[in-house]
Amino acid sequence: MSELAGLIEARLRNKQKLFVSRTEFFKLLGSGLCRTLGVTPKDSVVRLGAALQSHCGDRVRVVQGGRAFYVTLNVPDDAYLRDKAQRLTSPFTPAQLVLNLPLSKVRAASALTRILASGELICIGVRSDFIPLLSWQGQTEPKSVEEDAQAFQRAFNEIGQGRNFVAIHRLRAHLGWERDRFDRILRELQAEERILLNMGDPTRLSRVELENGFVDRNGMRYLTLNWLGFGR
Amino acid sequence: MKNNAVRQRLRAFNPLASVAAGNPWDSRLIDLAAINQAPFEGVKALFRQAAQAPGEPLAALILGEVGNGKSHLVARWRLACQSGRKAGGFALLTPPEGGTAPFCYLLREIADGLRQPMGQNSGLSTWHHLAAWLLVVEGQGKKERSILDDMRQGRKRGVRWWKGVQDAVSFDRLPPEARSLAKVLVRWLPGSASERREALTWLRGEARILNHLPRRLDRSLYTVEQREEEARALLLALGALFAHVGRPLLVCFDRMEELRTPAQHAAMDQIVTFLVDRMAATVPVVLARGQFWEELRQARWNAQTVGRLESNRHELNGCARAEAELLVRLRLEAVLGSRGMEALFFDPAVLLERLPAGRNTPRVVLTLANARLRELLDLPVTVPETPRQRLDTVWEGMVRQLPERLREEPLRPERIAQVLRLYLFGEQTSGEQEDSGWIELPATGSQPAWLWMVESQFHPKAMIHRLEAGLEWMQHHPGGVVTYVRDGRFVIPRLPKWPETNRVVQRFQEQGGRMLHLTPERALRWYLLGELHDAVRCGEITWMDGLNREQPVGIATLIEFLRSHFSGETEG
Repeated sequence: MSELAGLIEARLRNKQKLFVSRTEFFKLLGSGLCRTLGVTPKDSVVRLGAALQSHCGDRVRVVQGGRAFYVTLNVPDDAYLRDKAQRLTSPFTPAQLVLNLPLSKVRAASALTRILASGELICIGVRSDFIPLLSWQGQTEPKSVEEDAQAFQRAFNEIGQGRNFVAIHRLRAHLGWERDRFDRILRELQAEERILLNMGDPTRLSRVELENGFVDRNGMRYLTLNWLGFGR
Repeated sequence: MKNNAVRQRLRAFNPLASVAAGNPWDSRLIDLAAINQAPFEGVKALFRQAAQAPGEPLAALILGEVGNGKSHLVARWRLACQSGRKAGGFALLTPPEGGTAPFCYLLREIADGLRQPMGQNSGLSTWHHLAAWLLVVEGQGKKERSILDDMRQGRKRGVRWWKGVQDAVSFDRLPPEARSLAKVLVRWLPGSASERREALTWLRGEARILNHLPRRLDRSLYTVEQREEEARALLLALGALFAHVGRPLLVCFDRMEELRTPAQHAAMDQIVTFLVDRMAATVPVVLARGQFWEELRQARWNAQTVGRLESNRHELNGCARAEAELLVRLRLEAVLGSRGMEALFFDPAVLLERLPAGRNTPRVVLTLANARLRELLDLPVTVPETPRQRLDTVWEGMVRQLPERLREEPLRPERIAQVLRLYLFGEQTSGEQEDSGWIELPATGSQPAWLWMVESQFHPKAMIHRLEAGLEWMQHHPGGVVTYVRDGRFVIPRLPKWPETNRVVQRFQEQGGRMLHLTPERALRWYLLGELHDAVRCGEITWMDGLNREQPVGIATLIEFLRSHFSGETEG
């Protein structure tokens, strides 16, 4: 029992997944492990669930999420949301977060509530239709400056899509960091001459976008930045 | 120089107070060569290359946000391109206000640019220098300096030589389309004041009455399409002339963020593509804000042209600490001189003690240094001015220059429409219509419908077309008010000249249409308001708030200012 469970767990983790659909599960297993498990793709969900229970105990199970059935590792409900939140590009809505997860609505809502309360997930704004926008904060342990700088550059590249002038408010929204953390990394990157902060054109921005620029210790407001040595 | 004298000198003239480049035609610049040196040299290299290989398609793109020194670069290029043995032409353009007749616009703007004095000491325009270069290349027996001296005196010197030139020079070695242009430059431009005015008017594509130039150059019977075709031909001819004399022409485009409508984008794309691919010995340089450049590309500019621009792309990267210190020293030294610097009671580096570590834009450097200098001079804390006060101050400075600018300000009809539209509608609809000179206000309540027609083309057929459209509008809007606005410097000739135009004007007035002819001074105020609008739109006019922070003056403030200064202007 433990050997098969371990194999299934390993294969899921290699794919960096906590769960898969029924179809994906059979592809993941291959015909050999399917025979060991005693199931075929044509078997019912009930049959598959019984087979997994018999061979893997609680370590791998079949769960219903919405209208679909999934084969999943036995992890807490919160883990699904954490995993998905880290894959999504911030900001995202609660609906986007819970979509296609092996959770019922009630359990998804409870898990979301817990994660919001923990501060790992924060609400960074509201859409014009009053749907909240969420951003993953991650663990609360402080990252090193270099880790943050790398994350910052990744965000810059993602937003810039090959361009070298990016609005600071967009970077701030994309990363979803606390204000101090974001501002600190801006100052560090500027001091290391990796970026140039520009005052930009305030006439084209909304008040919120202006406020989400960067104000330095002298009170100078910056709205865009460019990466120095870009493309060289 | 003693300590007190240094303080007084700095209080009287603070060299750090101004961060803007101002007018690139004004050579009184205090600048540091080390800042933005790579883009400066890059464009200079293209300029030299255009002289050696005039048929090669060359272009450059300069990207930099506000306060990064784009305008300073333009001024430096102008000085560099117009001095030395291989000096050439320079023109600075902003995007067209509308999308119609882009080549007429391009010709006019380049012609106006070439009207400016060449270099710092010449006193003569680039057109005059081009004429001199032509005569030297044609081997007419005089050197450039002597020819220029003759032209300064209106050909009163060396009369026999000039007579010989007029009779003999045929420019057979030039392409046929360039010969007319060459003859205007050589025969009429160096002449009397009236000949020179007429030649300059013709060179910018206008259709004034010709008293000196040959009748075959009369444009008054051309349609708009014919004028556009002729403008293209003249531009090609101009390029051919520059190539013939072995000199290049640098054409800079600034304030690209003024491009808002698809029609403007299409016109700009046509213009730049033409300059890159067709016009010889010409290097177009586009200066744009970094973020805005992507919007330009998405407006589907010609991919090949974008490629040419991107192949010589430079990004402005601010200044390092050492450069910042040098910049501040240079500015102080310009006011104090070397002896004053020796007596300076503080180390200039102190002015930058609050400068953030790393690279900073020149604007940030100068703003922080200025704030610190004011503290050291014990100047009172800046009383926070309002944006409106700042605008009033800037306007007063512009108006003080009126007498000087009245002499040489070329006609800029789009400015009149721009300002009128801004006054009536605010920023929302500025530039959105194809024909920016057609401005309608619908009837509301007891107010009748209004139509303002701003004449943008000084051409009889265009005037007739405009006035007849106004007459038709009156038929569809009984009780409506139509005003035809134009710069009064463009004089409609009296009968028997332009008979059809005069007939339509009479009919227009008999039907109740109003003619608003702006006096030169009044027209210039409108033009200056247009310039002020452009500066505010580009974030170039700033004010200091109570926390000593530089903030841009917004459009709302400008509109309030405009409505207080402009009310009554739309009356006759």
